[in-house]
Amino acid sequence: MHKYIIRRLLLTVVVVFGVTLLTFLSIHLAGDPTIFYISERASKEERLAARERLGFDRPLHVQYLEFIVNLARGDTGNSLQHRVPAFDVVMERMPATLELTIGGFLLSTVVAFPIGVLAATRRGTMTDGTLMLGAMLGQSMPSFWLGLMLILFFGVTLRWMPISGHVPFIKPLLEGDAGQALANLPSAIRYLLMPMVAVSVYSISRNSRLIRSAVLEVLRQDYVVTARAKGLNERTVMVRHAIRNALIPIVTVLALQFAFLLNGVIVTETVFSWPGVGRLVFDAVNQRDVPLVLTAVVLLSFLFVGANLIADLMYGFLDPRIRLE
Amino acid sequence: MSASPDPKTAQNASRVSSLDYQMQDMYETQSFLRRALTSMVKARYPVVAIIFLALISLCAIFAPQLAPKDPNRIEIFDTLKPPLSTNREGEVEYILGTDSTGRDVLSRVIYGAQISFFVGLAAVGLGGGAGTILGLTAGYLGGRVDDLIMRMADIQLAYPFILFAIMILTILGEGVLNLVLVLGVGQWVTYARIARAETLVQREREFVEAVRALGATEWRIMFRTILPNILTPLIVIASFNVAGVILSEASLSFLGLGVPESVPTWGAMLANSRNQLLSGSWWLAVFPGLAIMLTVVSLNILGDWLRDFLDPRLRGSGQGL
Repeated sequence: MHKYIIRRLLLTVVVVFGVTLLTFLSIHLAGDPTIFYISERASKEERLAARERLGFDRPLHVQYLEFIVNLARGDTGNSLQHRVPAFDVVMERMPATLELTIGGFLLSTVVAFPIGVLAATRRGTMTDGTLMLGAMLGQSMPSFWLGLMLILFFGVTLRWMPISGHVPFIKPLLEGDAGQALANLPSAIRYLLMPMVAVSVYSISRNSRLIRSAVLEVLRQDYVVTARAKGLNERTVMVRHAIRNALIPIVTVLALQFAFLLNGVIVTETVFSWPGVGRLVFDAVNQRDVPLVLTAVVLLSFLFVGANLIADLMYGFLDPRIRLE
Repeated sequence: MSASPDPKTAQNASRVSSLDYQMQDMYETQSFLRRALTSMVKARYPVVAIIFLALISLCAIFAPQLAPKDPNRIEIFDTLKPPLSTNREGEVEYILGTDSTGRDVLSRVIYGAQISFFVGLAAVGLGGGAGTILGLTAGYLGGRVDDLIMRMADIQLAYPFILFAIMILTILGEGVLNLVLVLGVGQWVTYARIARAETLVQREREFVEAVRALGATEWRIMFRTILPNILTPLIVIASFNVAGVILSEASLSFLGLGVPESVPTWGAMLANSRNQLLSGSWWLAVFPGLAIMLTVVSLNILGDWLRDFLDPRLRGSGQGL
């Protein structure tokens, strides 16, 4: 088990290495980043001077190795646009993205479970049909379109909800100001609600379909028949025998959803002007802010790989028959 | 007495048997199509989905004939007209209204089908083809080739796709083919993993050994013997994948990446609608979004049916969806 975790963590290092190399090369292939940091009328000498000052004149492999060595020491270099350490810029925005991702993740899990279980127990009825049709529609809807529709309906027409903006919750919490965080909570949720629904609609739909088929699969098993034959009531059969065993395939997918949600945040952050990392990276790529892009990519990849690792570990934990080697 | 058979009879016999096989093939194809049709009609939804997709395909192919206006024609006196707006003669001029520069929304929605369909099919063809070949190679050859291909897949999986797409499109610049390339590269991993897993199973089967014993080349074994036997799950995945790619294309267009502004796409129309929401111009956001959703839901319904029909093993595995 320990061996497995260590091997996975080593693999993570390889992956982050590959991801940064790919990012680094693609930014530099896009042309000299210097031109984004000098005036359009700069002379050739000024341009060369700026290139030297920004360090873009050195061979690519030297620049890349320097980034990796510094990264290993915890130094990400300064963001070219913001002129402060890139790590700080990303971390400044990270809490807002985490709020959106974690909120979306919780919502998709909490909502999908009852839908999936209900549809499975009422298999073939109107309830099942309606729920699954809804799930099919939810899965086919672009999340940013749902975002726009929510803004249009609840924000513009009914004026119930704020159409953009953000009240921090995780950030004061991380700064140790629990009182402030708690005071912010109600309005934080109010601002989070619509982006959270938009970002998680795909996951809700997909998860409820998966949960339905996982529960149906388990209900077919012999031990469920045995449990029923013993005369256990339906509730006990469902909770103790069916749902618990159906969890195994579900958990893997749930953790993968977390990674998927991270993918969706860039678009959702754009729709709701949410001050998160997604939007930051998008702008940083457009501005060729090399250190900032690399730092954000490294941190996001860690989150990605971390979520997948947790999924694999949960797998072995929920089903002792599975041995991770 | 001569033991050697009359060469003419043998030739005839082989001709008859090959004709037999052809007939049998034909009957099997017919009965396969009939079974497909019966199962589709029985499931009802797939029929509706196919009709809708046929309509949208017609829109894409005959857009110049069907669109009432030039999708890029700007009418500065007809900006932000709501749906069913009439002209001075009292005739309905803009069925779905106009945008902030007076362009006809209906015409743009019709033209938008072109990009969605082309990009969806081309990217899945590219990614599916490349992924299948890579997965087949990895599974069949094993060893270092397998390691190399699967580690590449791991790295790509650890990389948020949209970030990758933003990066590459910023570099390559906008254009339909670049969009196809990026979306295609984004898909290969799924196909490679499934093709590899299926190849590992098929490689050990007796018929493969038989073909090898007959002296077939590795190339022939891979592409003529194994490939046809691993196609079913890949086709099922591909049908869902077209839907997924159309959604991704819409997201990228929404972010302003992908095709030039002069090409109408559903995603870009939604991006433009965002600035008009506060003024209450709901039609700009509703219609392109509906077009995307109905197309994608049709493809998903069709994929669901195809999976149940071709490969019921995959049901509930979460593949493709």
